[in-house]
Formats: sequence, C-alpha cells, structure tokens
Amino acid sequence: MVNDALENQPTTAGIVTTTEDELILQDQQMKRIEDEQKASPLVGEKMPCATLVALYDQETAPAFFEKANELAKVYSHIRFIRGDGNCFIRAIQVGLVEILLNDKERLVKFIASSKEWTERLVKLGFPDWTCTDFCEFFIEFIEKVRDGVHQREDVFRIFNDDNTANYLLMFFRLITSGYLKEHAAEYEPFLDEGMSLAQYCETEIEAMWKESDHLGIIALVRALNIRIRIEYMDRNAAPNGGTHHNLPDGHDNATFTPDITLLYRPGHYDLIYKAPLAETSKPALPTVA
Amino acid sequence: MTTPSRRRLMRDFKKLQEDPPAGVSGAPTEDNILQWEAIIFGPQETPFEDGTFKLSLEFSEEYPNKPPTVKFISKMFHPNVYADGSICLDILQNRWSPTYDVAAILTSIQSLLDEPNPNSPANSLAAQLYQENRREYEKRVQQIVEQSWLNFGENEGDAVMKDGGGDVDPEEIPTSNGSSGGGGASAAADDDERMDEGGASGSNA
Repeated sequence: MVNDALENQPTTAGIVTTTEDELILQDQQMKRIEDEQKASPLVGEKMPCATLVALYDQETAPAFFEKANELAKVYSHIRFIRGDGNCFIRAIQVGLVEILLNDKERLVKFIASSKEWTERLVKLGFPDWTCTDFCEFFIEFIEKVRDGVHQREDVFRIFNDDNTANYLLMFFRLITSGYLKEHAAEYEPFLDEGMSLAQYCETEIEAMWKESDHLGIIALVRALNIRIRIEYMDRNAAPNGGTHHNLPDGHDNATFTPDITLLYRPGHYDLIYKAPLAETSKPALPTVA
Repeated sequence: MTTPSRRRLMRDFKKLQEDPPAGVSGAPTEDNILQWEAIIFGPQETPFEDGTFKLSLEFSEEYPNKPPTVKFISKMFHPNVYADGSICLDILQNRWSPTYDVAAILTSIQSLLDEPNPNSPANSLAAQLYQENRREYEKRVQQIVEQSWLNFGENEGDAVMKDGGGDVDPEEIPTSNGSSGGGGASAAADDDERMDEGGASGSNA
C-alpha cells in the first residue's frame, strides 16, 4: 500500500472531487452571469460623456465623479462595450474599424497586413485549418467594408451579433498570440514561473472571454501597429502613476496622437472620443484662437 | 447568411472526410448540423482495443468560441467518464480553445481512453480500480468493449440493412438514429446500473 502510494505520485487523498450537482450549480451560476452580461449590448451607441458623469454620485463616489467630470472636459463621447472579458479587444476592433470606415487608404493597407497575418500564423504553427477560417472570415468582413457592401450601420449590426462578432474578435486574439510567439524571447520573462509562453497564449490569449492583461494589450497594439491611449478613472491603476498611459511606450505626450482612446475603469475598457475639432470651440476656452 | 458556427462545422466535416484522423469518424445528423454523432475506435494495444464507441456532440451557435457538449452514447467504463456518458476532459471545459476542431476533439477523447486522469474521477470505481487493481479494471473495460459491438449492431442494423451492404459507411452511421440521439443517451445511462450487476455474467456466457 505504501509502495503503491509512492509510485502513483499524487495519492487520491485530499483530492477535491467535483460532484455532478456541483457542476450543475457552477453551470447555472455561469449562465446567470452570462445572461446579466448579455443584457447590455456588445457595442453601445456613441453617447455624450455626460452619461459617464451621470453614473457617479458626487456624495458616494466623489473621486470617480470628479474624474468623470475631468474626462468630460477633454472627451465628448463614450461608447460602452460589454464587460464579458473581451472588452479590451472588442474596443480596439471597433475603434479600428471606425477609423477604417473613414480612411480608405489605411483600410487597404490593413487588409494587406491581415492577409500577411494569416501566413504568419500558419508559419508559427497555428492549426492551419481552424486558424485560417478565423482569418478568412475577418478578411471577408473587412473587404466587404472596403467594397461598400458593409456600410457603417451594417458594421455595427454585425458587431452586435454575438456569434459573428465573437468570430471576428477571435482573429484579434490569434494575432495577439501570434505576435507574442514571434517575440517569445522578449515576453516569456514576464510570465509566472513555470508557465511557458505557449501555455499562456493558449489559456489567456486564445481562449475567448479571458480578460487581456498588460502583455495581451501591448501585443495586440504592436500586432496591429496602432497607437492607443488608455485613460484611467482610477489614478492608482495606471502603470506610470499618471492619469493616462500611451502605447506603445516611449512616446511623450506632446508628440503622441493616439488612433484609439480607451477609458479604463477597474476591470473594464470602453471607447472614448474627443470632440471633432470643429466642435471644440464650444467650451469656453479662450486660448483656442 | 450562414452563421459562423455552421460554416465552421461544415468546414470541420469536410476536413474529417478529406483528412480523417486514424480511428475516429464523425458527421452531423441529417437534419441538424449542430448535432453530430461520432465513433471512436479503442486505441490498439490498450484495454479499449477493438471497441467501437459511439458519441454525441452537441454544438451551439457559439461554437467554436464555446466547446460542444460531448457524451458517450455507448456504455463506457473510464475514470473520467460519468454514468450519463459526459466526459471530464480539460479541453472540453476550461482549456477549450476555439482553434480546436471536431477532429481534435475526437482524437483527444481517443487518447484520454488510455491516458485517464485518476485525479479528477468522474467514475470513482473506475478510478479506484485503475489505480489499485489494474486487472479488474481491464476486465471491466473488456466488458464495455464487447458491449460496444452489441449496441453497435442493434442500433445500426437498420441502416446497414437499408444500404444492402455489410460494410459500414462511416457517413451513414451518425445519421441513422440522429433524431433519437438524446433519448438514446439517457437510455444508455439507465442501463448502467443493471449492466454493472449483470455485465459479469454476460461476458462469462
């Protein structure tokens, strides 16, 4: 008996077995959380920043109330993104496609780089059959935007159709994972000890509904070759201790023009927008001559 | 427009036909692409050798972002398979990746057969025997291997007869009792208790 126990390294003692009842309960809880999430749209309408301010009570949440007011001076609009673990990636995808809807030249370049990504992923050893389907599906979508088959309203309808939107989103997860794998030597040291980059990509990046951490964020930004700014509601959350963070790093504020700006509130990202230049004359800022 | 999940399932099916992995086959049922049936042949040189195990795969419109629900329809005796045929396998739960397809699922289940994880037992008797009494474990497995032929014959008889040929066309198999897939699975589960008792005498006969 003793020998047996030694041979079968972990003994059966102390193993937590999950009963079927527990599994059912877990499933029910998961379902409830999911239903709650699905009550809000994947991608909301663009709303005035006053809606953000209205979320906070001056008495009970003075810090957030104040910060929301500060943001509302700089940013005119906010687009809420569903909090389902995909919010960072979804916000980037929506923000980028919004830019491409108005910038044909950039759109054409983006299609070319998306096609390159298909080849890069295959070269990296991603399962050809399944990965290329995500790539092709995304490329078909974006080509329809180029060809005017998908107009702006179609794009937002698609972004709000759970199954299609999540299929499109998976392409961004794959290129995030691909970018990390291409730069494994650079990023592997950041992982918890004992975890390989391949494992990390499989469980944290390629798996749907997993929140993006800093590694996932920087990799997607670099994979897409975009510039983003993250505004922090909570000053303590910013890696640099400031009120916002520019990515990729190494740009000072003066020269940095982000393509996309996100608002970070604990555990969640939404898209925020500056007013178009023509509108900035509205606030009483005498220096805008 | 076909949904991404249906499109992907057609693609998975095409791949299974064009490039079938050894020892597994699967196909959607005739009237529902989201409902599949599959067969896994027990891997050679394992106690499961020669078994022909039927499974049902139930996909949702969220496939492949979410895994399908996979169950053994054939009776199974395995540390990681519940009495109702549900399978405790990480890639079908928390380690699922949308880059997996049906072929990957089936080959993973096939390798699970001979590489059980006794630390997350779904069938505690099987887990215990696997660790403490391998001979008895293999005897029990042998019983369900033999049963798998019986069930196969009973359920598939009609389809094979209709075709007029003795050869089992893997494409025909899943469609033959597709509409009663759910009922079949629960009936198999009901049998479990009785089979555990009577199984031994059955194999002796």
